[in-house]
Amino acid sequence: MELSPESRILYYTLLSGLLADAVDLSALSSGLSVRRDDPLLQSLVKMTDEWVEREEAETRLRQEYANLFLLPGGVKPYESVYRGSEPMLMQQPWVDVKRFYRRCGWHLDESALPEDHVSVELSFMAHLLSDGEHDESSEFFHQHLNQWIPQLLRDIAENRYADFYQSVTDYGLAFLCAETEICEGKK
Amino acid sequence: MNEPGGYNIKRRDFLRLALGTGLAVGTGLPVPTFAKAEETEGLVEDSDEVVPTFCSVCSGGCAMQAYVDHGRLVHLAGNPHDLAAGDPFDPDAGGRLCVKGYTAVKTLYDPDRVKYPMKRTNPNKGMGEDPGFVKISWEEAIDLAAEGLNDVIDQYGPESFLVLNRSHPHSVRLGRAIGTPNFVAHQSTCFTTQEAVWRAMVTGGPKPWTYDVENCRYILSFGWDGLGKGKNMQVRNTTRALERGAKLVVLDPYKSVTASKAHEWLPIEPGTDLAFCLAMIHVIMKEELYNRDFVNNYTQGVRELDDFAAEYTPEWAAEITGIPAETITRIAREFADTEPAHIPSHKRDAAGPNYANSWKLAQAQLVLNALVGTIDRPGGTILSRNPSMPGLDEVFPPPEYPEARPERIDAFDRDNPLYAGSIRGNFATLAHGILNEDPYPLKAALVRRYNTLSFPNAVKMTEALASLDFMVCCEIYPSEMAQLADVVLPEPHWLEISGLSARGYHSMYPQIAVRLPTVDSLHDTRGFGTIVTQLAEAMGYGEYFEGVSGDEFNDAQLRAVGTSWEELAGSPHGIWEDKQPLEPRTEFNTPSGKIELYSTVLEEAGFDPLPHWAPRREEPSDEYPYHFLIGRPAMHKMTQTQNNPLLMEVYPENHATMNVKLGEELGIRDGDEVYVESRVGRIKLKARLIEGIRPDCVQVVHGFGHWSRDLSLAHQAGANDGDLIPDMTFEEMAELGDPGVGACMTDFGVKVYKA
Amino acid sequence: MAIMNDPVMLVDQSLCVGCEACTTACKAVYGVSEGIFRTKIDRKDVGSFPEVNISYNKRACVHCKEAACVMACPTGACQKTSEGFTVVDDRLCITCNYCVANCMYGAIEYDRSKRTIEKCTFCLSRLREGLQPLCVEVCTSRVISFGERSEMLTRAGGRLEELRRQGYEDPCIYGEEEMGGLRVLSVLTEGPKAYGLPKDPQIPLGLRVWNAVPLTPAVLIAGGVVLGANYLHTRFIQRKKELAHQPDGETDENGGDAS
Repeated sequence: MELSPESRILYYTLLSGLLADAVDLSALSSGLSVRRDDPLLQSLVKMTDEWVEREEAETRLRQEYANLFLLPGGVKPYESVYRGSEPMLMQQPWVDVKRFYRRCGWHLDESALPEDHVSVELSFMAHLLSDGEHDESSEFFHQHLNQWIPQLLRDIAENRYADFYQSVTDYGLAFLCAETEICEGKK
Repeated sequence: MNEPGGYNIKRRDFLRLALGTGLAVGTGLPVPTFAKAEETEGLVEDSDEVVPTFCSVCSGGCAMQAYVDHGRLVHLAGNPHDLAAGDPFDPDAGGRLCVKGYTAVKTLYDPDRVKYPMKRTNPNKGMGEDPGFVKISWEEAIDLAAEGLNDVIDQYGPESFLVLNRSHPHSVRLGRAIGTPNFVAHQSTCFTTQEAVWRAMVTGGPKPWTYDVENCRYILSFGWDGLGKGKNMQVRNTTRALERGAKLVVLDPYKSVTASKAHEWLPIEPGTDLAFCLAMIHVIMKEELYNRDFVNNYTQGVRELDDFAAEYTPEWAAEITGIPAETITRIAREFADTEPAHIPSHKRDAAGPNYANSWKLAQAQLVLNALVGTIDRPGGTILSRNPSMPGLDEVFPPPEYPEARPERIDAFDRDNPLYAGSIRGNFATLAHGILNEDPYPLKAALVRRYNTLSFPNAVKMTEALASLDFMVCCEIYPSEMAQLADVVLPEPHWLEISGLSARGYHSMYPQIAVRLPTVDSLHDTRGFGTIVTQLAEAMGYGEYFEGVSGDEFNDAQLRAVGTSWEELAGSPHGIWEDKQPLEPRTEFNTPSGKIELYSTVLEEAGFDPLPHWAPRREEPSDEYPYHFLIGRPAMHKMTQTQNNPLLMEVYPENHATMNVKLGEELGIRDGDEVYVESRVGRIKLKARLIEGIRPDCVQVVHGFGHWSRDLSLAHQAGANDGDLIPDMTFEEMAELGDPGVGACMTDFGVKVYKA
Repeated sequence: MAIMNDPVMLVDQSLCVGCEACTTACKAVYGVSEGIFRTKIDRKDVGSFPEVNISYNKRACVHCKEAACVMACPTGACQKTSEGFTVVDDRLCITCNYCVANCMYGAIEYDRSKRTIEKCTFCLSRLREGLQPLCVEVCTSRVISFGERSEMLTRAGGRLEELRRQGYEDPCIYGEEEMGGLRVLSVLTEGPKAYGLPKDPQIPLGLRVWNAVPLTPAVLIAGGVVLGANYLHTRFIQRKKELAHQPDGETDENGGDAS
């Protein structure tokens, strides 16, 4: 799939934002209204349309987010947990990711999230791309992002609490698949 | 969450703009942002540093050296200069920690930790109810908490608000500002029987925690398991004593670790240790074996003691304890003839709040220790040499507090004149008060870290707490208590914060340890002091916290002893101390200035001044034929460590431990699932058959039976001993006439049968 | 940095309280997989109520001078370092587990998830930096010492004297002569049987024969030799079981229960 650099930045930013906190449904719906035909966003569009009609959608979405990402019954969206020697936070992968950011001349702004949180890594990709750092972005994709985030998305999809987020994982997996061709192709 | 730096794009506009015009990153969604790394910033943080901190797993507070590699905590070691963790008398010996201290790194990086403030969306509360937590901002959390608490206070009065935590100066101030009398802490399950007696007979204040066991030559233990509970300094000191040839005699219905190292293990009938001690006093008085110098100069009441002890012969005690009279006599003589001899007693051993007669046992033990002259003397219990530091009220004098009504929700005011005005409280009667709205409705609580599992009759306590209209819970893990909360406020882990601590558990001379954050805070947390201050402001009690600063408080405390925060934080070893030789006390804080063997303070308060024999409250019956014992292993700290993967690997669950013969009798094999049942509850767990326990006893280790589905490892491992322990009504408590208001943790019978 | 001459660890098993500080610290530092241990606590209950003896024993590789595991290893992966410690080189290890089967002390474990052998390395890397083994450094009761063999033997001797004085009839030092001498000595309050340790362990003759024959990986690949090896192996297991079994058939109560 061919993606323009601007689109790629958008898609990374969108995915990062969707995973950072419970979504503002009306904002998302309004934003997606301009891209209803985008093949990558179909699942999201459909799910958003459905949910906008639902009762107490906002509360349900926040519950789903908490159950999936904040409470132990869900997934643990940190590279350390997926690739560290044990399922704990702040393992060696966290150190490596921090190093990578520094090497590129950046550090994470004041944040409640650690550097290896899925949202942070996705946002960093967008950041590199918007700076035109294509080689570094491919490297980051290959060394870090693609090593665990597809599995995380699959885990979210299979988690019993996933409802709205099924569409996010559909989107995420499709996008990362396309990205794999682009980034790995460059190597 | 993050706000974008330097971008003015509104949330809704972002997507339209980005999607429509293909503009690059704005952040309408809460997308994390990056900033340029400074030129001077190294490629990574300091690669290697050692940060001073001290442990908060138990009250030992061992000073630690935290090894931090690239911003990641990798190892914890004991500080060799610390009285608790090190050995200032042997600097080459190195610092040590206990197994829980070493593995604390895992608790810091536990992915199950509470990461943000949460509010419940499911109004139903109870075991197994999914709270439906959602993440909220701190602003919303504080406002919601303030509103919830104020609504209740407005409706039911200030006394309807409960502060349920290990006392903290900030929450005390908030509670007093509101005007509630209800401050409840856990010590009545832990050591108040011992504390009441020390307070009355020796210190006029708290119980001492320092036992100079390494210099003791005859260690007599009544259920004291210094080696098995894993308290760092007690393990060190007891081991050293044994290396030096001390004689160790242990009376315990269960062969604990300490008992396994003892030269003599006497499996005494549970709840009869008092009779043994009374007979010892009898022998020592009759044969005049006591330390005349100490007794004549530093105690008062020995004549009354003489008369009192006459009836408690070893033969009489043999009937009750099951230990032969010759043995009792011999041990009494050995105890009196070996110098120094001592009965160390810490918390929750036989003199702890286990039986209705435990406070008397504590008293008898104190008398025996006084008779052989080891109170504040080498080999014995040493009165605290902690430096005197000002309290919060001294440094930041509060405006006048409103008067609170004296009646408490746990009737602590009624049962305990010795503790008037104290903030200890009664875990055993709290459920009664709440569920019966006696003497009034209690409908709101600020809880910090206590777990429902630690209460007698935990199931009933859970019901009581679930019945509250509003609960705010400050926690690090999504514990059972947190599952009952309306608002959960995450605190930082102790490895992420600053503070100071006087050496409590081994205070031979004034010493203070510092703690600095070993790593940056992992999650969106706020310290308890900050939480309470902000809550107070939101509730309308801001004036009580005006100008109150945690940093200034720490500094003021240190200046009072002649140092400062800056100095302590910058000290090479993270320790301030005033190394002085131990001057034995010659005067004690009692009306006579002496150790009162005949306690006038107890007498004045309406209690028996001498420990006349009394049996335990309940004996095993036909229906509940076995004694119940509670175990506490070195690898676990109460209910707090069952989510630690390393500790769970070496100690994954608890069992119903009983003698092989009892198992045979009941047709139970090792590993079978069994029920252990008491008059208030029933638990199911696996049987473990051993020889090192009386055949009429069942022992269950405390800390398991977690039902919070949010503790991945702890969830459903083992069962909760607390479900078996009867709680009490106010009348039942009053009947006991216990100045320590002890919770009678094992004073009941159980039955066991195959599941 | 050169390690001292003849380094030895002394474990006073008579005072070990079984707290598992060494167990967990070792696991944490070496990143050992769940369920696998390089050192562990073995609790032994002997006797019947009320005459019960409970001991807690630190069990790990004792780095035998004459190591059965080294002899059993067909590839030379399990080997002795120049200082005399027994280590396994993962690069040469074919995970046949002969070392696991032949260890007299059950001190070697196989980690299926990583396909590696796990055993105590005596913290060689720490020793080479002038540090003590980790377990020595963390032991809460401070009953593990480390130093030169003669120093440790003197200390052990002192403990025996003290134990006798306290009324223990048969305290002993384990590890002086066993398996040619162990690098981990233990002070026991009574004979090894009570601790579940093999008294006078001997390398089985079959294993010596196995070790003497120059087997190389190339030879192993040859089918016929593999069959022969398996036959011999079965015999070794048989012999080892016979030797390790208590003479009077006594088994332990809750053997291996560390809680």
